[in-house]
Amino acid sequence: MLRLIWKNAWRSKRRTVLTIASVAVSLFLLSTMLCYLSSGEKQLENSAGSLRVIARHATSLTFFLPEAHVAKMATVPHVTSVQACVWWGGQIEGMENQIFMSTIASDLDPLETMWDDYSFGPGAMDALRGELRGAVIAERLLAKLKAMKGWDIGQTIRLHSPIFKHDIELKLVGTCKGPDESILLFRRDYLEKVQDNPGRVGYCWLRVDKAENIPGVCRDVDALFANSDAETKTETEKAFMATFMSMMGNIKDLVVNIGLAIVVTILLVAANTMAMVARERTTEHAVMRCLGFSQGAIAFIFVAESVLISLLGAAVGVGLAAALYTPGRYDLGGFAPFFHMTPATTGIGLGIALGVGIVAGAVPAVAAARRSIVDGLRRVD
Amino acid sequence: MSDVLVEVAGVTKEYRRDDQAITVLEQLSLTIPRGDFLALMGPSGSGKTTLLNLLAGIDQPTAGRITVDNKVITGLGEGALAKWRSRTTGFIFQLYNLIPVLTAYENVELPLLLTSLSRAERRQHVMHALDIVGLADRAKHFPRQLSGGQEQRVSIARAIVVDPLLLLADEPTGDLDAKSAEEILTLLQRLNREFRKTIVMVTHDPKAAARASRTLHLEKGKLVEAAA
Ligand SMILES: Nc1ncnc2c1ncn2[C@@H]1O[C@H](COP(=O)(O)OP(=O)(O)O)[C@@H](O)[C@H]1O
Ligand SMILES: [Mg+2]
Repeated sequence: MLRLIWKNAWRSKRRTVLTIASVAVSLFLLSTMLCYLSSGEKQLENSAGSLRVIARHATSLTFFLPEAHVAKMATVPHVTSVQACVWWGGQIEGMENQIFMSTIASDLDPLETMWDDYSFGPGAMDALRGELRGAVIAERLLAKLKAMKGWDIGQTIRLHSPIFKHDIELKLVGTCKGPDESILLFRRDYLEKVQDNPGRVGYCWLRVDKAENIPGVCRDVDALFANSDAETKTETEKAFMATFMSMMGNIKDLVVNIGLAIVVTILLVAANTMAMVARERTTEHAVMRCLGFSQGAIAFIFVAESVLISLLGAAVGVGLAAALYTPGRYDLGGFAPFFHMTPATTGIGLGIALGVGIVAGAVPAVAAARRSIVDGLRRVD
Repeated sequence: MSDVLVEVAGVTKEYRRDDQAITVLEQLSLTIPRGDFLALMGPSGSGKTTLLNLLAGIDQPTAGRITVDNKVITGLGEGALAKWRSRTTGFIFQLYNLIPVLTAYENVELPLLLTSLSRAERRQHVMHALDIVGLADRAKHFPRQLSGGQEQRVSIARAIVVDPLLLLADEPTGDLDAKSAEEILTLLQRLNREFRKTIVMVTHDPKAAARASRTLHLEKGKLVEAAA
């Protein structure tokens, strides 16, 4: 029986190959999009369970907070530490579109307790304390820069910032490793010095003692600065990440819609093929039923053929994606650190192929099974 | 066990086209004893294929009743009929109707896939059937690698492999040259005599009909017996 299904599928080699190819191409595209979506989800997920909240200017992320806010925030009950940061947005001359770096100027003292999900290279923190221009870089980002520019620890690098319109010179003194693999961290006191002490803070990370106190802390911090010159908006890391990512271009809906369009396209291609196949097999189906094959058996064999073809397409398309999108290979220059195939994305791709195969085969299969045997036998082609 | 294998009692078959009903078979009755080799003759459009289809349980009469081996098959559901067909009848078509992507062996094996036989048992049955039709050495050939006569012999092997009670052949020699036709008729005759198969064969050819033990003429939906 399996033999028959297999052989049937290859009757018209050209047609089957073309169908498999179109299913493969579509599912490859779909896998690509799923990777993109799951990368974003993973980033959000990583920040979901944290005890960090972020306080920023109520109007927008692009407005600064006065430095005096930092000490006041530390007095809010249940806040265990406060880390003032500035998103500096560093870029490498000539490589603006190839490398994405989360270039952040930060206070040093709260760093290690605040970011307990990161590990710092041996001596990295001490080196940073001892070197005003020092910077700590994510291992993955360093590896990339090593390959592209030959940079390594000890190197002094020069970056410019489209936000602040000035350059800065940093010395790479150590590495770190954590969820954000595009981190480049340097000292905020150095940035203050370079900028002539404006006393500006981009945003503050606050660590809360217990998860259940997070909502209260958010409320209290915002209440503290209510009606001041710089009101704050304090939210959880996850909520902040979501806003941040939507600022980066909310194309999630678009991606989902294109994905759906792709699924419909594969379905149409497969359904068209199977309808053609059913028409050609009319006499044969009648003959097989004459031999005693039931309507169910005929329909099953037919659907199995359809499923086989679309799963072969999926094996090629999803397989290619799995081979290509290995962890860390394509991370959109560091912006999408989790852009790779996971068991879930592979499963979704195969699941869609299975569904497409069943649906595309089912309609002609039922029609074929219902057709009267006598009519099927009378048809002369 | 009664001597009658097939009992056709007052069978009428009408086809409805738009508002018009065409009566193809009218109040037809017929008894076929076990071991019979019956030839059905008659002009084109006289309802021979229709009658054969009714006997094969792939079509239902408008009125009347058909009994095969003491089982009334008229009015059986499609599922029950399929099961019944797989065990009771073997059908031989004018155009052989082998599955082109399967070898002779696999074509003959097809009806056995519906049984609970093991692979080895199936092999035994298939080779035996191919042996009877004289094509054991062509087991691995595909239909397109066989002549018309050989294809028809494979189709006969497929029809007898489940050892059915009743063999139904619709113009089995209609598409063959004289020599191949002779071989097929000899084979059918042998199946009838040696293996005691009951055969109903539709044919246009008087020479073919002469090989049967008796001949019935169908004219305008009614039977007329003629001397064998
Ligand atoms: N599905 C059908 N619908 C309408 N008329 C049919 C159908 N099948 C057969 N007929 C008619 O029934 C008559 C007998 O057909 P058939 O049994 O094939 O004749 P024979 O085999 O003797 O040539 C013909 O007139 C044919 O046109
Ligand atoms: Mg006919």
